[in-house]
Amino acid sequence: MPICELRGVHKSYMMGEVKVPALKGVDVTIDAGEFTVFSGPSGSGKSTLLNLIGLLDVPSQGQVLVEGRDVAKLGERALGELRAEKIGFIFQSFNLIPVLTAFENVELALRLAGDMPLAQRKEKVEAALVEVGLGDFMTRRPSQLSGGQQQRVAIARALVKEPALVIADEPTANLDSKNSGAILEMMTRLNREHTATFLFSTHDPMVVEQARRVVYMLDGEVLREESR
Amino acid sequence: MRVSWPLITGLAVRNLTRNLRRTLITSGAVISGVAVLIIGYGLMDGLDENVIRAQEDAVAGHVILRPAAYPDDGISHPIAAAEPVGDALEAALSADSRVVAWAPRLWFQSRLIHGADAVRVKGIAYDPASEDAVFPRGDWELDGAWPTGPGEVALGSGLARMLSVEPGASVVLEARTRPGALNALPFTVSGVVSAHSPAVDALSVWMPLETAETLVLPGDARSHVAVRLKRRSQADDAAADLGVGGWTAHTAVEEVAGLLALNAFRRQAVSLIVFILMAIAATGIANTVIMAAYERVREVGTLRAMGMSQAAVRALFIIEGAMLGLFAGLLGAALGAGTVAWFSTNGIDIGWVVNSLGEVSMSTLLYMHFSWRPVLGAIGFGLVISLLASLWPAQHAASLNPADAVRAD
Repeated sequence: MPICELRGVHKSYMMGEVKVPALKGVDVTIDAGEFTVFSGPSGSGKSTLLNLIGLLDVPSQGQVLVEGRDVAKLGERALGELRAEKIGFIFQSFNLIPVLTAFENVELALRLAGDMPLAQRKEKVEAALVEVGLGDFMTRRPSQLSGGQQQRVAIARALVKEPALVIADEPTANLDSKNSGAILEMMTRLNREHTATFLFSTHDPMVVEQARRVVYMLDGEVLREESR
Repeated sequence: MRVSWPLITGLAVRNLTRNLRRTLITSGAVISGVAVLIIGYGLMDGLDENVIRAQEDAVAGHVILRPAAYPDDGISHPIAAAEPVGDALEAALSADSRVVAWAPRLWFQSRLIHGADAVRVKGIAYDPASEDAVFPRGDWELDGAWPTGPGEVALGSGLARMLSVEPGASVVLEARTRPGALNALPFTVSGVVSAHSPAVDALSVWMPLETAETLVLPGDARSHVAVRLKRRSQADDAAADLGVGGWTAHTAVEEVAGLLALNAFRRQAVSLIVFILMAIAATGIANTVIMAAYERVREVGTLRAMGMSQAAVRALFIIEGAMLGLFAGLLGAALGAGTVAWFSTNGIDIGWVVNSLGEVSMSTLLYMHFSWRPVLGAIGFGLVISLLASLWPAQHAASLNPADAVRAD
């Protein structure tokens, strides 16, 4: 069953008074459990595509269905609840909350996702941080962690609520090759061990190499697809 | 996601400590505004109380009665206009359950001669038996003693200072008698009195009514009757009831209405200063929250991506502003209330100002007046200002597009 479908999706932005098309009639279907990479040069529309799938934005035209629901018919509050419960984000710049510790950053995802007893929340957060190898760094703030460690916290934050969909926008772009490899290996392992679907946007060949499905994009259109 | 108040509040507290220096600088403006508001109003209330108390404790009691034809300008004291208290007034005073005590006085114009110096003075003749029950003489300062014999007078401290007269000195008082003749008698100064009120300290000579009888021959005529009531709040009703037998009654507050009106004007000036300070504080808070909103665009985007609602983001920034205002308001209130409380028991010597104003009915010791109302009002004011100043930045943060915000620099 597809977890996400895009049907004839167009997305345009206004740059001053000029309308700039970012996506031009994209049709993509994502099945549950996939590890899919959207690859292409800057401006090809991959981040816009992930924004739509991640319910951060709405299409100008066409349909985006997440778990069979047309997101255009959902209000701001319902979209927020869906994001909180079903979608985990991993960003290029890690996007951790600087005033919170690693533990609190991960815990925040659970607190936003809904009510959970404190003891259970604590157990899940600790397990998530241990899983990404940061069991000894729980009380550190982002400024006290390396880039690779911060991205691991971000991964733990994305996975702790056991989302249906993990969206990673250029997750290795700000890391050196050693950390990139480690992070990528961790995400492929987590994809195998968890049931979550992983969607990446990247132009990092190392990430593309690991993907089971690659969607190549250019100028807002799907150029071709490869499945391995 | 519904707004989770513990989560939002916890985040707000952390965010306030993020840029501690900026938070403290912004707080400083609110602290100053709130403290100035409380101190200013404590001072103004103290000044009002000071003026009223000086009048009550040295001149009028709670209610002062004068013969109907007696001038009420407080300057001229024609002995010819004095009248006997009369049975009707005595009966009204005796029958009124609000009246604790009453004291007749005779104020008259006189001239005091000391060596080569001669000064126009105000004679205050009193009834030693009733005076203490109306006026708290125990709180007055007395160098020497009250007059005990027919040849003794006490001088007001201002007069004694002006003429360099000390207890034991000899003076001559010259006055017109009630029948109209001019009389002059020698006296010994038994003491120098300070009631902490220039109205009676500046140019007054104190003597028992018995002594005045030898100087101005008033018979049983009196110029004033000062009435002490159980409570000041009874003064208006009591004044309305006691104006009988050809006597008019005024409350002490009415007697000093001019000074109180002046204080009311000063109070408006204080309010204006406080308003300006609070406007500066509001600008500071708005600036702090706006800076926070612009600095944390990516963070807001991340929170929105994680499912935080627009309402929760709005609440986060408003709570930050409100907590800043509340924290600073409480500190300012503590500072202001502490200052007012200290000066409400210790007092400020403002003799150097009051004595230069002439025979004004003001105490030379100013006690600030502590009241919870301005304290709570100032905290509330600080909080409301902070809330209002946070609204726009909060709305700006809440309306950010999460797709753009998560990638903001």
